[in-house]
Amino acid sequence: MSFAWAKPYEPKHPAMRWLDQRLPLPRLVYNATGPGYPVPRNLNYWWNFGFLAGIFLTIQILTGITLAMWYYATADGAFGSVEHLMRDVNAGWLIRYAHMNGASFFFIVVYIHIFRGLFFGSYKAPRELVWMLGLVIYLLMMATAFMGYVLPWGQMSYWGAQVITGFFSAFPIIGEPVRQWLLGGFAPDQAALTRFFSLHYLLPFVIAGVVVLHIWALHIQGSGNPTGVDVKDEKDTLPFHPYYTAKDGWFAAAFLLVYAIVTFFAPNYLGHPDNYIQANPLATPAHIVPEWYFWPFYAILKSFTVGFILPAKLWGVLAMFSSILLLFFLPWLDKSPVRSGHYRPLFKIFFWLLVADVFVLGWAGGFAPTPFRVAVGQVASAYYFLHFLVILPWISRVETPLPLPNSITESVLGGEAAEVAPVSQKKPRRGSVATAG
Amino acid sequence: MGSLFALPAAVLGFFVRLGWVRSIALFVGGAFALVATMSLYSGISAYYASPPTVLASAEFHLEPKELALRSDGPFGNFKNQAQLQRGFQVYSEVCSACHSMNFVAFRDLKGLGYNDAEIKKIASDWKNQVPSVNPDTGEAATRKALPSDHFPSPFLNETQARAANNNALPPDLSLITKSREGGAAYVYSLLTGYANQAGYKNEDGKELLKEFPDAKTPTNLHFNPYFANLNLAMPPPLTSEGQVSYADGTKPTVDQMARDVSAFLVWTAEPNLERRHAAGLPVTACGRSARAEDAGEDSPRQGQRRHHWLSATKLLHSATTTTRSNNGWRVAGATVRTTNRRPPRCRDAGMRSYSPQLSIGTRNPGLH
Amino acid sequence: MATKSAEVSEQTGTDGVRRRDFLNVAAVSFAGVGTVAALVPLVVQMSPPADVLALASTEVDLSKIVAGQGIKVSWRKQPVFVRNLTAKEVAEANAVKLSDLRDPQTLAERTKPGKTNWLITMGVCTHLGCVPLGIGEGENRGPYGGYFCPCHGSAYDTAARIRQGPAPLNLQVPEYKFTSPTTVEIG
Repeated sequence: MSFAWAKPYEPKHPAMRWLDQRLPLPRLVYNATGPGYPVPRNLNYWWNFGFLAGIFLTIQILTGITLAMWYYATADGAFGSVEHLMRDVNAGWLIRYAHMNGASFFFIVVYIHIFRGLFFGSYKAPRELVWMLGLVIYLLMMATAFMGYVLPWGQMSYWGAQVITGFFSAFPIIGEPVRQWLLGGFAPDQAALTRFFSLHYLLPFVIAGVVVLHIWALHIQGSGNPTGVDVKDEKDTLPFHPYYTAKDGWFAAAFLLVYAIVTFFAPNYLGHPDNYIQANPLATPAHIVPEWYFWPFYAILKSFTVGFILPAKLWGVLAMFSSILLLFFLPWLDKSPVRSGHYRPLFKIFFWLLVADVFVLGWAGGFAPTPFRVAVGQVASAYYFLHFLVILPWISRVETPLPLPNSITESVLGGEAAEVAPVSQKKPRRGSVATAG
Repeated sequence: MGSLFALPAAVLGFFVRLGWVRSIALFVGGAFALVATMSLYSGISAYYASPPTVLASAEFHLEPKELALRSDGPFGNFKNQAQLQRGFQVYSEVCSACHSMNFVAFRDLKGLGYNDAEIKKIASDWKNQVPSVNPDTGEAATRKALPSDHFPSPFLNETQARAANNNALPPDLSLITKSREGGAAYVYSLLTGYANQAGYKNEDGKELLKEFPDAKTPTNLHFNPYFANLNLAMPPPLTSEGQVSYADGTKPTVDQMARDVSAFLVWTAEPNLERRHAAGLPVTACGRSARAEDAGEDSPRQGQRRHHWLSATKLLHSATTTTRSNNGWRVAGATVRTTNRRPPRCRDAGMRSYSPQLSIGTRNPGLH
Repeated sequence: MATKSAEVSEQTGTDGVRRRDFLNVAAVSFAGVGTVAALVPLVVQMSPPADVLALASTEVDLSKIVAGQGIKVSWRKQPVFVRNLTAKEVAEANAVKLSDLRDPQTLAERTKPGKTNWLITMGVCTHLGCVPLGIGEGENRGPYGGYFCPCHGSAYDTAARIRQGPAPLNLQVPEYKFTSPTTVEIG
């Protein structure tokens, strides 16, 4: 897409002209990341995380493909092949730790990216599809990460697979047959391991495809910005290159530095020691926990202990899946015409409550289930559903938003005063953001 | 008559105004919140009706003791080869009777400072032999180990291991410090932590057998408060001073032997630890110094935006003045400055030795 | 004359359209059925294969297990607890009121007639699939003297019925039969 003032692609070099005539790839890059893509000038650092997510996807794919050159997907040999990689393969320890921690950092980045979207209303019209494609990416990431964690065939790998495939047996009648079909057996074993390896290799490329759609859908509309006010004219934007390539690059370097520090100096901090014990189907670890990025969902699953029409286990499974699926409906649940949380004081309070709630859910899900922790987890689970399904729709109806700036440029150059009391307005504004002008 | 329908009509009207998405959302959200609350209530009433039994391990399990090793911390290394060799000696003379070390090969001992000839001798003298085939008859047999072999297991298989150890399976020790919470400190505490259960009190003064008579150590198990279940199947392996006589003359007290073997087991778990730390230093130092150059002196804060680019500031300047029509605006905040600094080269950043003068923007010397 | 030929041509015209539609629908349906048929093997291949199904039964020798002892065996790669209950444990199990049980079952319902001391159950907690403690010597048997799951505290009684904790059901009794007084075949 472009705004009318986007620079058109005019190749100077004869080789580029030759290529552009036959396959407009350079044009594509220019229009997506170069001066052909005008971006609001006021993006803050919360906007860096999309690009960072793409970097981590690339890191995972590259390290993953190299790991696959040494990994044996057999129940007998998997654990040993990973140790072989760690000890004897040149730089194998580095690639393995990079892949392990790359997954964690990929999730950190994506979670910040999602919360950015929640706060700044990135899911609202006309970007609903960008949001939904993003959720599809997130679901694929979860599936990929789960299957990847099973591959080393440690104790947590095996028992995590046992518990998560056990969910399906919660569904009546079809549950157990579906579980056996998924596993290719009665419990996680060779069949499950090889198919998880096959799918773990496949899904990142599916993710890459959906990422292309995600970025494409975004570029049709143009990026959002922290004020939520639409781009009106040339003054409101900057070409992506060099401004945002530089900003993205700098922040990526900083973030990758943190990633490097963890990978080199504390590579097992985010992991669980039990996964350094070979899988034993006859001995359960004292506490089965998934990796940290699944802890909130694990808490939600464990919170439902009472049956009500449906058995408790089924409630837990349905709640866990619903907690992500409900996000697909967010654009229709939260219909406030004001996008950005900066101008929605009531929304802002509940947003931070949600952030706290998700951290509490993580704490409840990741550690030993004492009665206190379970109780807190139940309160937090109840709040999570109430937040999205009851509170947000209610807020969007009763809230009084703050007055929006007239334009992006005004909010950037004019300072606080212009934002609060825009020149042409005296009263708080309501109505569609798109018609602001 | 009309008033009978008033309430249902009002409710229906409410849902119609809400729209079908929000009505379903209200229903679903309410259902989940309701069942979660019911679960909470049921959990609380069950807790007060029958408080959960406190397990002996909750009150008597001890956290590992402190253990300082050369391999600790971000600059940990395996330069203390004397200790590691002593630890290996403890393993070979005491532990290898029951515990395998499947992922370590004899050739890896080079990392402990042994030379090729020594390794060859260690391998061929090793009391456990490697499963093999009799070259004449084809029957199963064993042969002496070679440096390229991994340490052979003391038992043929799990069944034999359990048969020899009261149905307990001695775990493989290759990854023991990575697979236990507390790592080397846990191993050290376990080895030195065996206690007499009779009269054992915890730090609050509670006596174990008085509070939990059921926790009496069953036959064939041994009381050790550093073990999660308090009673473990391994009898104390290090019982007396001088069990091993160290080649370097260090006094082989139980504590010393436990420390040495724990240090050795950190090495077996991750022989590449030193290499990892050594590689990490230039990577992270290089990354930090590059950004330190970028950040530079504190640039005055103008407007709301401040950008930290290096030579991109030059690009900024040229972009704003040449390609844009002058509407009287400028990019808010950026201090347009040209810079003559060349980008830092990573080999300056500490490949040779870690320099304490590296800083992050504020010019304060500091090590991180 | 003109009307007759007009009628004829109209008839063949509409016939032709109807025939085209029919051909369209038929061809697409054929392709659709073919595609589904081609996909079926890709889906069906994921089901448990013949060799896994062949391991569906295991024989267990009971002669070495004395009263008060139990062993853990592997069946379909899952743990099974085979326990020889003492008379005291049998009495304890029978003394429990069915109304006190979350999943009401008598000991008789969970064992074979005449062999109520042989309790054969899955060693898989019905909550989230952990292996409960209590089968081995010295393991924690929990407050009800049966099995105890360390993961979330589910406690089973001497008949392996759930009494406390989050598990919804008793330990599952697999299909088994006595092939002789001292051997059972599970599965």
